[in-house]
Amino acid sequence: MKSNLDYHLDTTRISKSGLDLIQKSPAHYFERYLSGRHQEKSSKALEIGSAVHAAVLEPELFAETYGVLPEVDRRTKAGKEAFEAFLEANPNKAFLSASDFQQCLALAESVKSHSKASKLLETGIAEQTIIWDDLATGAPCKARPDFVTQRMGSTFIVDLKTTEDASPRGFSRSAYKYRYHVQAAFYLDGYEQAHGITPEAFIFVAVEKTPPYLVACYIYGPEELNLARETYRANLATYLECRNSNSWPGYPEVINPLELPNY
Amino acid sequence: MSEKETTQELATDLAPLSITNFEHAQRVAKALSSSNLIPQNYQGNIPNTLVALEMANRIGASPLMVMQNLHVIHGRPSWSSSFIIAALNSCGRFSALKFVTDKAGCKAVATELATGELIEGPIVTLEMANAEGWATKAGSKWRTMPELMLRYRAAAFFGRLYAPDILMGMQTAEEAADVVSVKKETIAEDLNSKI
Repeated sequence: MKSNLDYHLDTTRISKSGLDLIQKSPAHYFERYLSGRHQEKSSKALEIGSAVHAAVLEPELFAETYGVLPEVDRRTKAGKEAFEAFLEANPNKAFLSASDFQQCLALAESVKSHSKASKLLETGIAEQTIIWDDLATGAPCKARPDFVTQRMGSTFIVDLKTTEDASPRGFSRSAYKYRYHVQAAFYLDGYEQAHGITPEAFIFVAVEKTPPYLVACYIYGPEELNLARETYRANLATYLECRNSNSWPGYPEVINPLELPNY
Repeated sequence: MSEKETTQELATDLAPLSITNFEHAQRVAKALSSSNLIPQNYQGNIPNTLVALEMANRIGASPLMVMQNLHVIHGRPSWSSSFIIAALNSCGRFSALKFVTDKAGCKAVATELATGELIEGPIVTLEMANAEGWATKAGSKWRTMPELMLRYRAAAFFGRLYAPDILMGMQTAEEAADVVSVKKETIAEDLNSKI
């Protein structure tokens, strides 16, 4: 089984994040995955996102991997030394501030208390890499579903999203912005091709990052998924074209009319 | 048998879930639904089991057979295609269903036993599957097992034309799954009842 790191290092296949960059411009994709210049920047939001995923999807891994940073004054020499000694004593752990740690636990607890989300995440396989060649374009693809569960003879892919706003209106906006519909279609088709099993649905479990950490579950319908399918196949076709020609263009070098946004 | 008794018997046959025998059917449904040998959708579900009993009664099949072959696809009860073929083969009105395939497509044919006439169902083609959107839908079996799907659909069309009483106006499970215009609200409702 591929580790999360192996999954991200494999540039012979394209992921949903890669498709997003191709959509922006092939030059962005090249810079991120193929140039060798990209350095992963860690941000607090990303770190908390990973920790929440572990706390919800793999609680045992969370307990093993994450700890609370000691409360020392790192502006003083003694504080710095104590802090460094602490990190040396715990080399394989990731640390969060006490408040971030509590936030992760609260989010996980909230998901557990949601009747549908908790059932969906009760039993299944977390973070398993799937690879396939797209049927229509032949493009080599990869995905790493958060969670796959079987219930009453059906397979469901479950994706956990931390969000500012899990309300139908709020989540619909961020889902469109981050192209979650493309992710749903890409993962559903990929899973079917990789395992020969058609998942019944791709279900988003959206959990708000702030109290009361409300949870909501969503699916896209066939119309949105069919539209997303067309979109990702167009992205895959562009990706293949760029790969075959080894040409990764940026934005068109023309003068474009600028539109005002629709809001 | 008196005239009154004959009328009573007929009424019962035509309305198996009438008040007269509802209680009896409910008792049977309760007993059946407590068995763990029946499919999960019926276990502990007396209303579903009652519906299966009613359908079994109407088409003269065993309740267990109906339960094993009646699927709920996107909220719609649907027969499995293999059940439709079995029901057509055993109904006594036709010879065993055969499938004729050539470049034009696939059709189901059988001989009507009463007249000796050869009856042909409509031709089903892969072009039809594409045009109707059956083959382009996510997870479509038309892409992975087209030969089987052609025959299943040919059997369903044959049954719909020549033995609609056996299909009882319902689609086959494969047909129901092919319907592309299922509303997401219906899918969500279906999921909420499952999870």
